Amino acid sequence: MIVGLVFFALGVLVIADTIRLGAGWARDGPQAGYFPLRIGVLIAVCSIIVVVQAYRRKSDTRVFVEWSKLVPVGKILLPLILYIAAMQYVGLYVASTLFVGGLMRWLGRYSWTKVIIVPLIMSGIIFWLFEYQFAVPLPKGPLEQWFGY
Amino acid sequence: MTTLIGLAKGAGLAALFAATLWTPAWAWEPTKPVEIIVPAGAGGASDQMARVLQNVIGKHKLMKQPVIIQLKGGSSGGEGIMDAKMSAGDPNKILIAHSAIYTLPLATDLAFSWRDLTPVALIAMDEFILWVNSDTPYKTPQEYLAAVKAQPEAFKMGGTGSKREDHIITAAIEKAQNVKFTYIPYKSGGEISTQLVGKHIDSDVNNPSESVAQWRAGQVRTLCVFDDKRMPFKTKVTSDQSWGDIPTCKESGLDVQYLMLRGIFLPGGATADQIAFYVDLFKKIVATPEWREYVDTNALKETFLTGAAFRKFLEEDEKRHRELMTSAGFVAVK
Amino acid sequence: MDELRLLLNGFGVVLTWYNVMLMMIGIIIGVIVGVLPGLGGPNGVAILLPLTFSMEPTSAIILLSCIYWGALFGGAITSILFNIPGEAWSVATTFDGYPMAQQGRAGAALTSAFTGSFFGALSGVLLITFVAPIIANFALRFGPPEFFAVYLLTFCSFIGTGKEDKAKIVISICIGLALAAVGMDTISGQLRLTFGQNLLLRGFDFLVVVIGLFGIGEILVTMEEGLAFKGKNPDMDLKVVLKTWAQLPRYWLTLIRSAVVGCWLGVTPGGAIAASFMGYGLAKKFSRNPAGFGKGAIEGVIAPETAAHAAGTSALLPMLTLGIPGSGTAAVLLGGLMIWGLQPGPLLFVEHKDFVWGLIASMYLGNIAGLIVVLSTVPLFAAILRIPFSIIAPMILVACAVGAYTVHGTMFDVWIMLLFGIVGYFLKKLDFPLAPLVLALVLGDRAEDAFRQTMLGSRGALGVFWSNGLVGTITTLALIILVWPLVSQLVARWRGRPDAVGPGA
Repeated sequence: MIVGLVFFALGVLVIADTIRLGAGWARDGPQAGYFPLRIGVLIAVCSIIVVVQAYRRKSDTRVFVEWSKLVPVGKILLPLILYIAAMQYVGLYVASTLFVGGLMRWLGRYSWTKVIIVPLIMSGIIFWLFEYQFAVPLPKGPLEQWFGY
Repeated sequence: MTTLIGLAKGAGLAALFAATLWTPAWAWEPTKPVEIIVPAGAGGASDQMARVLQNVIGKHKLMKQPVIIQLKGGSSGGEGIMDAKMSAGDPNKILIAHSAIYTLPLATDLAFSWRDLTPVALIAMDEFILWVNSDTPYKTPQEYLAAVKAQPEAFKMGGTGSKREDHIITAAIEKAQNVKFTYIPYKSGGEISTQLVGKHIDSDVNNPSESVAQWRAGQVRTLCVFDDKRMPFKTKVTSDQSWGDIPTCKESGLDVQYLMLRGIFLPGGATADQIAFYVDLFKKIVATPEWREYVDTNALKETFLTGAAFRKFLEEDEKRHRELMTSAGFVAVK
Repeated sequence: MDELRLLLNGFGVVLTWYNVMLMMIGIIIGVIVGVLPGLGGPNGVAILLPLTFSMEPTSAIILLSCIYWGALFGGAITSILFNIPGEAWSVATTFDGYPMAQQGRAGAALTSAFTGSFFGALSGVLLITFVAPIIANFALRFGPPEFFAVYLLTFCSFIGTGKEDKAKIVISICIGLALAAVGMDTISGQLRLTFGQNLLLRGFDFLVVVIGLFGIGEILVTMEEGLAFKGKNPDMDLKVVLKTWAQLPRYWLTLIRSAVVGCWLGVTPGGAIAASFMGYGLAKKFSRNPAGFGKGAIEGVIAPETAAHAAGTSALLPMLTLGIPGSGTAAVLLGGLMIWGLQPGPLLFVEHKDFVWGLIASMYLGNIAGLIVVLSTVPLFAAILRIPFSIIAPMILVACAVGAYTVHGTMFDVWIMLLFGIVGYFLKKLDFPLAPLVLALVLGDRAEDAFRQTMLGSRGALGVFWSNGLVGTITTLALIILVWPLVSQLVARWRGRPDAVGPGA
């Protein structure tokens, strides 16, 4: 139901911007906002339908995610958020090594040797592939700069 | 933002470090792979130019660092030019600019001006030609425009995007000759060229390189070029015509001129040493045989301006775009 | 049979050790860029383009086109194994490929995907070999109304059979359309839905959204359901290839239908992406067992792959004969041709016979080589599924992040990917269908552009969609397909109760 409301808000947002652009049907066809406006309205209307449906169905009280199930999801989601945040500061390679290593240890309980070796090999491969073979620069941090990249 | 500054600082330190090691000929040299930002899609004219630059730099070893091409063609190139703006202080990025640097901020509420960047060099200009399908009877712009005049809005002019160079030229023709086209925006010059051959549009103002294949095959016909002089190329392109044989629009009685810049910019805040390095680099590039061949095959207008002359050009070109766009009603109400 | 003589001549040009070696290298690089999300055919070709400037044009195009074949093959691998489409045209492959992998039939899924791809490519090459000039002229007949009709047909063939809640399908489509509208509007040159944010100028890149929705979303769902892939022990023996092959002749109709759809969409620059969706949609509509789709139907893998590969191959046709690229990769190849001093276009076939027929010959050989390479790796890739989840999951997430970053080279896209990962998770939990969203995101703005170009041309008259035989046929076909399930339902009901009086009768 909350999702429905979020969609409703999204629809309203779309409507607001498209009205600014002019959403009419000009003499030579639709204007820039013509389709987005209808889309916005449709999103809003359908989200209301979904909300109403959800309200009616309340009798079956099916909780969509149990709290206990959110824990494992969070277990990977939170590190992922941290990982992406860290990427901006320490670069992709360092962040990825820590991320994979950390999750292997935390979720998989692997031995420290594996936890250290596997992610390092992985980062090495990514580095070789992207920086050398494809010449596609990935975000780098202080460590890589220290090595001269 | 902090990361960018950090990067820039790091780059500066590394440059110092490098300077003491290799004693290069220049006070400054790129310290990381140089990114060429292409504010256009894959395979388009800007992309091709970037690949030629990459090729020339690599082949003649004009730079120690490799060149990387980043395509940022979102929003008619707005993505690319904003990326250049946001990269202020990073001397390892260059932008291949086209007229979007004026038209985008005017047509939309995009907060950008070329003054946010550091102009390096104008390396070429794009010519524009008025094309029609070979099956039509029109041989001169006057014949064609007389037909357009007789039936306002019945003729379809195809062009790349809206409120950009092709649209501006169309509006200028309309104003100069008091005619009215139906302008249909497409995504790329190649697409337009095919649409003209398929007779879905009646004319277009493509660059030479965008329509040369169809011209050689005899599917499209040139009416005139939007320049003050004829193009200098004498080699026959079709069985009996060279680019130089195309009359200018002015000599055919259509007084409209338009050329589009192909300029190199550094992000804002580049130092004198950095600018000097790139100016020298591009001087070397435009002197190579590969570049000459590229200019010839694509019938670009050879131009090379740097420093104050380039700035003056930009000021005037921007003023001209503002006038053209204002009279065409393309300027966004802010 | 002038073509055959020229083709044999072409084989003569191509079959040198040097060229065969380039072919193998090209295929392997192609598979790698195809597998890595974010890097795709266009990137692979673009990156190697500078290396080829010093080569002979024929060798260069062999290397680059083989990267293209490799990428077409490789895109299917991650879609099937991890639900992450490596390429935009592999999205439809995930719908049934991933469920197959979860049921322990990864090997069978990969084999049928590769074989379908091969079949599609072969159809494309045959088309190029024998009817290039006719087809090229056909492509010229496509103006804005025709393009819109094609997009309409794609939408209609894909939508309409969904079992999900109708309101949810509509929301899904609309969100896709709204996302597609973000950025510059081609027709008016205005910025839409960017709210003054520079980062939104680019719009939402399809690949970034898809990596998030499918890749990240899937990992989150899997986490919730326990720490393991649901996959049983995968079949990872080369025998699976033969076993799958034995089944394939049964789906000859699907193969041919998809190949035709693919060839057609490749030639008219509708692209491989539209082809894969349309191939899937049609296979589902005409299948004897439509309920099995989405749950691991082998047809659901064959159909999109065959169509995508047929489209990808025949996209080279308009590039060579007209000088217009039918796909992103073709666009980059086109740039390459010009740098080598070859002018693609109507005269290429006349002026550079050796080059053109060498290229066509290399298409046959390249695809055979590609099929051998990828089939021999089936057990290897299937074995990846045996790696414990706690190792492979973080690595997949890293691959997703790398992929999202490389598409445009900005961190912002990685955040967008994360956002869509979470959105994807919730949508999946709430039974919102994701496929319509993705389809709308890919085709939404193109369809809108085509529609508005048409309206500009016709000055607002809708009749233009029936103004000539071609566009009228496609539009009508689209509408028939759209209402088909409704009609067949009515027919079924009417037959089921022959004595009952139908409404309004």
